[in-house]
Amino acid sequence: MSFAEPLAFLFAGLYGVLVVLYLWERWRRRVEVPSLLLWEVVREDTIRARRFRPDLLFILQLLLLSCLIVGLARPYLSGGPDTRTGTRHIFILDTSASMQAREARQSRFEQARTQALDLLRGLRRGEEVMLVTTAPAPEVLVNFTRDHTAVATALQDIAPTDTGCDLALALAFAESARQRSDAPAEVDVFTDTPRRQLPQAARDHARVFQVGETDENIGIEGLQIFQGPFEDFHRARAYVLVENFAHREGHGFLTVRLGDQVVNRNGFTLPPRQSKGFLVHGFPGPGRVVAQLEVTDALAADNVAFGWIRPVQPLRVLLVSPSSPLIDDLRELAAATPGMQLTVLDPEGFSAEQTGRADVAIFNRFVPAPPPTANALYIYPPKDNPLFPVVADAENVEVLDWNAHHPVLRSLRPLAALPLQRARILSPPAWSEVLLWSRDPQHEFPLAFAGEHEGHRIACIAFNFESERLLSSDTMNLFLFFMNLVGWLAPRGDAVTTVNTGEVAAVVDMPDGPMRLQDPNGRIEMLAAGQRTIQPRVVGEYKISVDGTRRALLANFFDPVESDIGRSGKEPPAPPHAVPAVAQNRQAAQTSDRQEYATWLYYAAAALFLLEWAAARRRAG
Amino acid sequence: MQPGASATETAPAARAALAAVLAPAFLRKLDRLHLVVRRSLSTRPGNTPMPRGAQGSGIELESYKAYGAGDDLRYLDWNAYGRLDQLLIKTFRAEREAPLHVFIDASASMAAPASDNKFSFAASLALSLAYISLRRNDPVRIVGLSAAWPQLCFSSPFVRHRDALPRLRDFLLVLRPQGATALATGIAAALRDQRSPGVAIIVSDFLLEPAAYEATLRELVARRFTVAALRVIGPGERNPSSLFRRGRLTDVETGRQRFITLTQNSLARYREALAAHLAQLQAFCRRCEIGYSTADTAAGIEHSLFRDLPALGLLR
Repeated sequence: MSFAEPLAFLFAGLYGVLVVLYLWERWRRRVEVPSLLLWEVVREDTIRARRFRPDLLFILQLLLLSCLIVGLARPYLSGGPDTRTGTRHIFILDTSASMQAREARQSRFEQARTQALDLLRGLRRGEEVMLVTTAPAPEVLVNFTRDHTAVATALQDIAPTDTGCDLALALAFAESARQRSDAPAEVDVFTDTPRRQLPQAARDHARVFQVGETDENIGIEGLQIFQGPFEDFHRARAYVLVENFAHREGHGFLTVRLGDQVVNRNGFTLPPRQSKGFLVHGFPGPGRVVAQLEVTDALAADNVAFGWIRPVQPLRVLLVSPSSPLIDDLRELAAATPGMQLTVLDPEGFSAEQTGRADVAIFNRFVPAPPPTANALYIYPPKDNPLFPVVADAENVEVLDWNAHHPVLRSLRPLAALPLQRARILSPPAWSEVLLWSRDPQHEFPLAFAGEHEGHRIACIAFNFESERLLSSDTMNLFLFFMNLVGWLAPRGDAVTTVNTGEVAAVVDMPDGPMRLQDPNGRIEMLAAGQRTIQPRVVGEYKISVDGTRRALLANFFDPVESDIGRSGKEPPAPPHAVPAVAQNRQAAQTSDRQEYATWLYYAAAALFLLEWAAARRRAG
Repeated sequence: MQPGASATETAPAARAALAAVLAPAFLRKLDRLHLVVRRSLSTRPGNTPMPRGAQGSGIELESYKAYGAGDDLRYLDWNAYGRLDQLLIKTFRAEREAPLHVFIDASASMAAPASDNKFSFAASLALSLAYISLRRNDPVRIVGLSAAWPQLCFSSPFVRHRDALPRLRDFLLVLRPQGATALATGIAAALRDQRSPGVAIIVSDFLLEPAAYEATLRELVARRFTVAALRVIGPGERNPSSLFRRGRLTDVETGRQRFITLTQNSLARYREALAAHLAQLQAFCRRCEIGYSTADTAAGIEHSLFRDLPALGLLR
């Protein structure tokens, strides 16, 4: 037997009170009488004061008190061994960023968690529960268990993230679990997503507890730092996009800081459902850029964003070229680019060890043998070069297509109609990726390709720079292409990276060994030796260190779907659309495995009370 | 005099009661009363008329009788001879001394319950009766009865004049209710040396088995004492519910205890027992021609002296 309210046994202290009252009752005031002669006919009370000898009344009172105390404790007998016929429940708790929106005194997440806890308390003993969270990806927090206390503890420990979620995937997982379950299972979803926006399949078998109504939110939807790969902080620009997701006008202030120094502060008024961009420049130095909104809204996760202005890092370029206009162009370029150090060598004066002192080696019309083990750019390689077989030559070609997805070309405007006088038709190696294409009457051929080979980045420009001056105003795109290519060949190992929350970020250029990760809340986690990816869940700075090597990851929450927290009308939780008949019969056949006996004890207490009353009256009579 | 041990009844109550008896106004009221004696008592001449007594030198004509040889011719009624031509002799009431013995129960029971003031009442009654008797110059003594004293009684000397009343008062003030009841044995001890009868008034609560007092009272009657039993009772004894509801009753004389819850049923039983006890005493007294009256302390001493005792025939 178990007790639902075991604290009621604290009332057992009343037993002592009963004994004291009994003894006090039995203590008598001394009354002097002239003689007991006339009192012999009166029946004497049987209990003496100094000895504890319970009489019938005391025993009845004791039993009465016991019935009341045990009744208050709500005893029950648990069910038999066959408790497996209980319904299984799959709780899906939405932990996405929108659940942090505050509704009056509580956040949506707190409301949802309260509903989940209430539902959990109402379950019968023996019913299994699975707990699934949704953000940033569906995760089974607690597998099917009858330990409702463990589920409740897990619910209490969950916190929402600053990411979006894939609720449809979570529902699909839950539906799969429900179908595979050997016991009837129900899916209960606690989310701020309206039921009608859920997949139809999920709506048929899930009960949705929707929370949230407000749409009051103004958030930062983007923070872009524009800083050329060779530009220093003076030329850096920050662009902040602020959007009003509410259906009424919003006001606020946007403050942009570099570290602790305020760079820019703007007041704004945004019409409903409108956005506005803010361009900020004049940063006093490199460092962390923080954009902060001062607004009165329901969601705070999108009120801050981070960016990074790089310090200038020196770039050592080795140019090995015969006499060529390219040398003058690069010298002029190096003079104008902060941090670029150019070394020019004649091919005859070149030795392989010299590439060790450069970040990028540019070989113009020259391919050393053997090819150096360094990041290298080969321009218009000679016909008999050992690296890139020359198929043919081409003249007066144009760039017809380009690989817009490659980092070198991602931000470039089209290079179409860029005329080129001379070019090699090369067979690009298997490890490379074509960047620019052209075509002759017979076939397409690459004009530029790049890739990684034996741990180094290698690129090749097949056309000649003798006639196409790099710094000509007509070849601006070519110049930008060239600079991007050089920048790609010699990547800057930035100590700070910016990512979006929920995205998996790779941590590169770190020594081997366990990685120490500190999240924005200060919590420290040691990652396994081989793990080099991080999935930020909250906005802020993540500090990474391995054997003294430190990196930082700035995580931003830019998700207009989550930031748009308005929900057009709450829907009451609807029962599952179709419950299998077998499951229904099984449910109907279930009997409660918890038989409480408190009511019977109260009846017994009432009967004892009547008995005690009758006994007392009989004694008085 | 033996001072008594402290009892439940306080001395100030007794002193106040006795002082009230000696108040001149009260004494004037008592002057209207005199003791009525129905039996032949002392042979000593006194002022108390004796009914059916031997011819004596009294002044109160009682009746006539025919002259017989040897009658005193001084008492021949010549007027009656002249009218009736018969020789008639006058007879007079004989006046004898009527010693009064007031036995007052001085056991501990007379002091419980304290609110009843039984002993004070009894002492006042004794002193009043003593005064009434002393007005006729009859000898009076007051005898306290208690097993606490070695002789089971403590007696005052006989006094014969009402000026000696304060001596009796002082004697009563010395008495303290204590010890067990010694009614029979005390009376017997007190009258051991008394050859002539007198008046014996016993003032007590009579809370003892009838066998304990019946023999002694019969003996008194046999010795030609005029006996009167005054049963002193108080409101607490009549209605103990005014004293307790649930208590540890303790017999003040024996120390025995009894745990009693005074329910309606038990109260009714007690009252029945009390009524039976009083009825039994009264019936016995009637059988033995002993005067009996209850002296209710709640009614007051004047009620007893001017109503109950005259109704009894003890006073007139």
